[in-house]
Amino acid sequence: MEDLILNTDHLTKTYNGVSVVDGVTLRIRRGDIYGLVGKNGAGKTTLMRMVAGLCPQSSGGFLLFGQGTAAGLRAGRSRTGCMIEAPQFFPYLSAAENLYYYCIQRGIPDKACIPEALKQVELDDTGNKKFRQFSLGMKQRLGLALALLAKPDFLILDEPINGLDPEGIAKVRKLLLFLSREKQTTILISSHILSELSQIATWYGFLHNGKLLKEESAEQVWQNCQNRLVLKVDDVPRAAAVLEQLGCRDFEVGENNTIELTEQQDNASTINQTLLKNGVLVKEIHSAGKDVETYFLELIGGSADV
Amino acid sequence: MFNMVKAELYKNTRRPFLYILTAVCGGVIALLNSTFYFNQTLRETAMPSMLSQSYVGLFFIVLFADVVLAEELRLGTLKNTVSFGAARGTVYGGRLIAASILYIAYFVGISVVFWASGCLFMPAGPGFNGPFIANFLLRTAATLATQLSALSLALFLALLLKRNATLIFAFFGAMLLPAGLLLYLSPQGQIFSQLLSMTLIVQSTMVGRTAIEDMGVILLTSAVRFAVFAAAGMLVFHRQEVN
Repeated sequence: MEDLILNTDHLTKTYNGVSVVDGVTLRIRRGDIYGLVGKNGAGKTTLMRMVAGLCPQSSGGFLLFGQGTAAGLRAGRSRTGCMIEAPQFFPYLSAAENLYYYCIQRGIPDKACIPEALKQVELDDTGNKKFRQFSLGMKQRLGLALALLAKPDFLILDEPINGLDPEGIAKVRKLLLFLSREKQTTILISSHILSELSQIATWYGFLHNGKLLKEESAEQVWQNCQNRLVLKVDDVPRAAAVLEQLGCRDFEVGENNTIELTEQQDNASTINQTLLKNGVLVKEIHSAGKDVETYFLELIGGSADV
Repeated sequence: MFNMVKAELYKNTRRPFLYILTAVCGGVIALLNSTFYFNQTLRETAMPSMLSQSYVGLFFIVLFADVVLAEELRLGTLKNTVSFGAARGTVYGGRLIAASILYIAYFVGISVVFWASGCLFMPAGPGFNGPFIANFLLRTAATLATQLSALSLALFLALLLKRNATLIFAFFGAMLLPAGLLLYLSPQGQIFSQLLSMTLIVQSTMVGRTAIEDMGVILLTSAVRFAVFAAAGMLVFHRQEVN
């Protein structure tokens, strides 16, 4: 049971009769980096808010660390670090003072976790600088430090790289990969930057209009994206005849003597050898695909602000 | 709960609010007491009349509700607390206790200034004796009780209204409107007069003058008021979305 960190069952949130999250059933296993993908207003933040206990669900339910009772969920949340929406802190306190406040509140006896968390997000040199003087990126990193403060088993991160510069984004990516691989921290993360998400996610959940369209592993998504084999040959009619002999039915002839196969991508070397044996010169052969963003847009059936 | 209170005290002792408020109010009290030095007013006549002005303390109650809760609702920092699994009742109760401790600290601070400056500037007449001091301390305790019950009301209103200006208007409205209504209705029956005497604003203004036998009613009413608004606050907060 403990292997399922989060298990939602037809989780629904309705505001004024409109379902913002509509019957979402998803499973996040220990060690997953679960990328939640969806347009603005798809319900990603609301889903995270319900799990974090910031708003009650309208119907359905969920288990956190296998626990579904009020006390069990509270216990589960104490093992969870959250950064949902823009990080907010007391403007008149420094980074360390803000974290010290939450350390006391959460009953964390070892105050060494404060410099440790600040170092992880590279805020250890901010001294007495107050939160109100922080840049957007620094605020974001302090939010991440708070999420990491109690060394959580489960991280819920809503757009954690918002406002970060490219170097900061790379560092957060490295940190999350470190936490996942070295500390076995399970991570639920949403991001608009799908190219970034695709570098770390091991599972994806595609949300659209509050509904979970699909849950797929990163491998499945990659395979679905890498769905074409492109050949550039000197003799297209002969190549087409050879491909038909090989049993390929689903291919298209494109410009510049190219042929695109949407099947048998795994047999690239066999196809190459057979074409050469039959006197067809293969000038180029490569897999072609789409990125996660295109895959997601095709999934929801249109272009959108992801 | 203890950690919640401790954290609030840590936060609020690191900001100048409490120190400035205590210094300013203590300074004003010392200044007022110093004026008695020149007309040789006796302690046993000046001090009870000063106590009847203690309703002025109600003006500062909202500030204490603001620093422990309203500010957090405005800033959006409560999500950091709730998302870690703290029970809503503990979050609200912890803030109510912390606000009460801060208010008691402020109250004790200005009381010390009041006593010290009173002893310094006013001469003691024959009436300044043990029973007088006991009577005065009982009234002081009743004053503190009414003000803590007002704090419970202010914290409850802070949950409903985040904006400072709205909160201040609502707080004074909640104190004055029921009293005004009961004052209007009091010729209609004895019950309205009795209810009027139990209102926060009337009790706060009468605590220095009312008969010592009625102090129990003030203490009891204050305790009930504190408990009712604390329970109402916990109930509202339990169902409230945290942003």
